[in-house]
Amino acid sequence: MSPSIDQRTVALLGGPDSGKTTFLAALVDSIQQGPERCSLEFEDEGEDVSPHRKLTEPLLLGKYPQRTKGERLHIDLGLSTRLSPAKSPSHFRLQIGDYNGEELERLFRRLSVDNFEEWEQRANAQGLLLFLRPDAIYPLVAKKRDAPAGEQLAVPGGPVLTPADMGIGSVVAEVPEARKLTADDPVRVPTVLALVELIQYLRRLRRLLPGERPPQGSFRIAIVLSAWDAVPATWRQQRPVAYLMEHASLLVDFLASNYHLDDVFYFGVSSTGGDLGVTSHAKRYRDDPGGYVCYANHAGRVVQSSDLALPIRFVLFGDEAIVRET
Amino acid sequence: MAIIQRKPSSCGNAHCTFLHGGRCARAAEFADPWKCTDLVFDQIDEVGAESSANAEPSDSMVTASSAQRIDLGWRGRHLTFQESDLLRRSTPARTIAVLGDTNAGKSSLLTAFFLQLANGQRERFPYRFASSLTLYGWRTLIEHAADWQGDKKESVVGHTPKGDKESADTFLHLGLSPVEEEPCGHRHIDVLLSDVPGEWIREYTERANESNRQPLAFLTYMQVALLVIDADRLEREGQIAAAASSFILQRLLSLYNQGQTPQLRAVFVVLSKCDKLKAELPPQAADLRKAESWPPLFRRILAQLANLQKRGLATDVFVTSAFGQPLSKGQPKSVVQPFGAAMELLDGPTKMPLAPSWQPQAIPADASYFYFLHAGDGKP
Repeated sequence: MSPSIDQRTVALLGGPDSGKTTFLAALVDSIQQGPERCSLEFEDEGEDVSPHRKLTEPLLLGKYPQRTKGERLHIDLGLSTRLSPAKSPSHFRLQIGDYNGEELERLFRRLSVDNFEEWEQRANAQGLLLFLRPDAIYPLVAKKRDAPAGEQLAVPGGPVLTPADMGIGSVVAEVPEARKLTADDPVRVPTVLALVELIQYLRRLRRLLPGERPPQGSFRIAIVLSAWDAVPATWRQQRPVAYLMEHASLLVDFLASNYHLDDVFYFGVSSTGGDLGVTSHAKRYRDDPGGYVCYANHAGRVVQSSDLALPIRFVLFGDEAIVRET
Repeated sequence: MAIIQRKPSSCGNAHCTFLHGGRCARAAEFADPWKCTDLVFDQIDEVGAESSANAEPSDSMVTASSAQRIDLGWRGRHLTFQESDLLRRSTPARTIAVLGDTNAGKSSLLTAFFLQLANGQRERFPYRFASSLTLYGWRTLIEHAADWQGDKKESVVGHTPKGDKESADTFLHLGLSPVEEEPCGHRHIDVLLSDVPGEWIREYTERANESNRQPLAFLTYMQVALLVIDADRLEREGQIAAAASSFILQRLLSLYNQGQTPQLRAVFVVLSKCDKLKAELPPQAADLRKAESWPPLFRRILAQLANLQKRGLATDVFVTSAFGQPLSKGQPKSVVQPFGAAMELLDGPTKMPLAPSWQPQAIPADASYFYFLHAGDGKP
């Protein structure tokens, strides 16, 4: 008897260069590498594998995949995964639609979108992977005026936060609070307004009123802080939500106000495990391709996993999908 | 035709105040109060027919024929008076009028407040950011502020354009979610914050005729007025400047006495640019309202505040500094407090009954606003 196949759609959102394409490429490659590397398994890779090949080939050469202007990537895979070793596998078709990150700013500035039907599909997806690149949420003022060349990443000021200082949306029944800034701390300029506007738009397409939370488990969001390897070590030791709360608390507050706490999870993701622009790492990657995912487990401990599928497993299956790793 | 307006019209639970900005009486059972089974919805369904069989769709209903829109449903820019009026018809929005003379620091106060909220620096403001219909408007102000490098001769956020009085962009919008009610009793509170040029306020203060009243029509439904006074200018120009601000307070008193501001609960004076002030102000917050503890320059203003207080309005004075230095050099001072005090009155334990006659109303077909969930519209 053939297993029942669920059709599941996951939307990827994020600004330009937020790491969506690299993540997709690394994910497809890790699935191909088998269960030691990825918790998703191929069941049916579809009739045309050329998009997958086009995505992964640059990575295998130690280069980041590039997209031509206006090119849209669409992944449609038959997959299976086990939520625990004792459970029988869940079979599903995963469709992931990528889009041009520049559309985000156009939506914000000009109030227009291309391909309305695609946006409608994204709005009605089972889950959302929201990509943010930490160096892109560096405060605007400091980025313009103060950041020395080559140092684009924010370093936490004041006392170093520990995981105990912050809760995490998915496992703690409260939303973390931002660190109280001192009088001399710079005012951070929110750089996520366009992203919030985009989510507001998708919520509208989904017919959600402002502040209305979708039924629990019906729509999950994985926040993916990409290029996590480039984040200063002091932050990498902490929960990804702590980083976001420090640098973009508006987004954390917005999500807490509009979604159930259990439906939002924060990941730090390094799709390639380091910077492919660095020759030594590119060589390492060519020999042994792989990345990693960081997140806080149920005990609040920061865990690193080589399973790039975890954000997708979370949006499809919820907390249960994370337990496997902890 | 598909009618998709789906706001509840009433609640069957006598103890519920949710639809009037309060709390769902069954919050313990329904984490999302919109799902409470006591809510009574109009008999409207997804495919179109209002249950009263031959009901003719009126202009005030959202219909599929209006669904072929190319916009996203809201502009992202400041709301016009007409747009804010539509919002107020669908939700009991709190309206805070930010008033003051030209260059008093009204927009700076609003910008600094938003930045503090966006950065989680809420002080004792127990609300999270939940939504905004004017995100682009906020960002425009923030970009101006971010570009300001501390030149005292330059305006921090630029002068609010006078525009067309009939269709001027008047309001910034915030949707707030009370922190203390998480995760149950979750609410979304709309707040309208006026951001209008000081010239309009000066003109209306001097002559309260119809022409000058028109762009400030929102004063009739403001619930809290924040009068922003440039403390630095006050000190430089002396009693003349103090008198000008006092006239605005007098105008507010006149309107209140004439019954033209029936929802007004409080008038707060916000002293802006206090980082430049040389005079010593009373050190304790409790002393701020004692006239004798203030320099003579402020007494005229405090006297008018006392007049308003005698009429039953709450009054207070806040000492603030929105941008005493460029954003990269330090934090604003006390800019959240006036808004916290306003929300305490409008949403706190002793909150005023907001718009007691308020009932959800159907939305006109040409409404461009994300509350009015159009089916299948937004198509470019």
